[in-house]
Amino acid sequence: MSNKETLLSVDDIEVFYGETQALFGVSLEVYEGELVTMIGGNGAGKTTTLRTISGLLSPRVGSITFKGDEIAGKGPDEIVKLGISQAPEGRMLFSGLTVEENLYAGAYHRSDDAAVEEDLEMVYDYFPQLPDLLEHNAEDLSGGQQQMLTIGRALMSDPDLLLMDEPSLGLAPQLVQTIGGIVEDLRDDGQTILLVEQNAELALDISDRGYVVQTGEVVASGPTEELRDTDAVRSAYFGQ
Amino acid sequence: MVQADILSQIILYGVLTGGVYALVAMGLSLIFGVMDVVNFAHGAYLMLAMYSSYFAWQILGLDPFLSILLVAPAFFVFGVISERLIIHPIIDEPDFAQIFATVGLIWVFENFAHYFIGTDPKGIEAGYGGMSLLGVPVQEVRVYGFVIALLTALGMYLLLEKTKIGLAIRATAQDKEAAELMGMSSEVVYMVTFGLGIALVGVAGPVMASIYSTTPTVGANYVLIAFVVVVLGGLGDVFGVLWAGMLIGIVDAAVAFFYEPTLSAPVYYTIFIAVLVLRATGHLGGSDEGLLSRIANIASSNESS
Ligand SMILES: Nc1ncnc2c1ncn2[C@@H]1O[C@H](COP(=O)(O)OP(=O)(O)O)[C@@H](O)[C@H]1O
Ligand SMILES: [Mg+2]
Repeated sequence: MSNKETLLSVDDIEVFYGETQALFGVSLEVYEGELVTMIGGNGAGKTTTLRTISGLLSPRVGSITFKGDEIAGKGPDEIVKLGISQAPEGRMLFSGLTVEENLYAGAYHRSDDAAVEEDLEMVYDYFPQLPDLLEHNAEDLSGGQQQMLTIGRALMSDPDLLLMDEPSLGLAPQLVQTIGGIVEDLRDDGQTILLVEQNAELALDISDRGYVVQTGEVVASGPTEELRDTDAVRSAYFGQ
Repeated sequence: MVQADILSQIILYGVLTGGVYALVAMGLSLIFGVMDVVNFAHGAYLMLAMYSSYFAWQILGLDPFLSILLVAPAFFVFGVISERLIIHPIIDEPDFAQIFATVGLIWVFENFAHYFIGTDPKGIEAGYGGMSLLGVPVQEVRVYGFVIALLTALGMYLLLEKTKIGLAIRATAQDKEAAELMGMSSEVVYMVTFGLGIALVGVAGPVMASIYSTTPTVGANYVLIAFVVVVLGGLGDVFGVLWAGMLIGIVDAAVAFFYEPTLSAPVYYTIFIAVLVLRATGHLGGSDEGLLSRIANIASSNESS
């Protein structure tokens, strides 16, 4: 794994909401082809980290490099063009637009029309329910379908790195397993993924490596099979 | 007893005029629905567009309907520049900053017109006469103006629904952050949206200048109507605004005929309040109700001041 290229490197970032500090020096790396997870309780700073990587927030301190180039401070519309897309927390679908329009919105910055059509077919392969829903408004979909659309929309940008923020949130257990399986499939097909989850069990099951965050700091990291047995994870998740 | 021919005349006049009202309202609705900005200066832009067409006729001898081909693109650019200079700096500021900025623009534009053009009403005499439509005698300019309004509404609809920038505009209206995550620059979308809103005024201005005469304060007459049409028609809903414009046009014509023209404004205002109470919904923004209550707040604070 470590002989692979470093795709994303987050180096000691500190992020603030106004004067309130949310991240106190978070560092993490994602190598090409990996499925990396970031787990931690509610309010730990997972979403803040992903929003900062995507450019919705700027770190006050620290750097973020993607494919070797500094991206901290760039806007979200620039960062997606560089190859990072996000399936955000709460889905953030365009609720009044159709499923099809949402998918094309994901490919907005692309001009390789033929490849966009191929990627659309690929998204339909991962989510066979979507082709039947194309004319429906996103707001009329079930929670599970909305999550599928969220991931599909993020895939439509043909990302080198896919950020996923709690894709299992609010879904029935069976759907959580389905989504987990799809995330694994994506990784197996070569998609590099940084997956944020509160559902540590699911995340540790499917990921290669993980980071544990608590109150804005990384408190443990490593291969998931090792991480599972660390005190930090046990106390946070399995030992209560 | 109301005679059938008078009734059909009122309806026809109302529909024709309402189509043009809708053009003005459409830009307001677009800017509002996408950017959450209440452009109080919309009527002042309209006034400038009417003068532009007047001078194109007076100096260049250009037919007012032909001058649309010049005025509309020029007003698109004017809108883009205004957005950059006036709206962009205050886009994230509280409502009152937007009110100051856009009301300030009215003052600037009206004084500009007052100083350089004067208060004499300017009318275009382009040689159009009367015609008979469905057996009702009407001015040709009203019929052509209405056709232009229809075509523009259709063009606007196609632009929003079938083009990439249209998708970005609609997506940004729904969720600005999500749109940015898709690579849609909200700065660009806002410039284009404001530019389009003002370009619509650039279409409406020449049409109106061919029907009515222009003064520095002429825009104020149409702003309230435009607000009512927007609220009635739904934010960012092109055809909704068109229907609403025609409905208001008919009400306008009826009130003017049966009572007196000065009663139109109270009637609009009553409709406006009634619609707010009934909570009309639009198709563009996700937060129409919030926007509607904002207009209500702004409108009522405007009234009492
Ligand atoms: N918009 C915001 N404004 C102020 N504080 C925020 C905002 N969003 C998150 N926070 C705070 O930042 C910290 C991290 O939140 P977040 O990144 O959302 O955590 P997680 O995704 O791990 O649940 C929390 O203390 C939260 O209260
Ligand atoms: Mg979160």
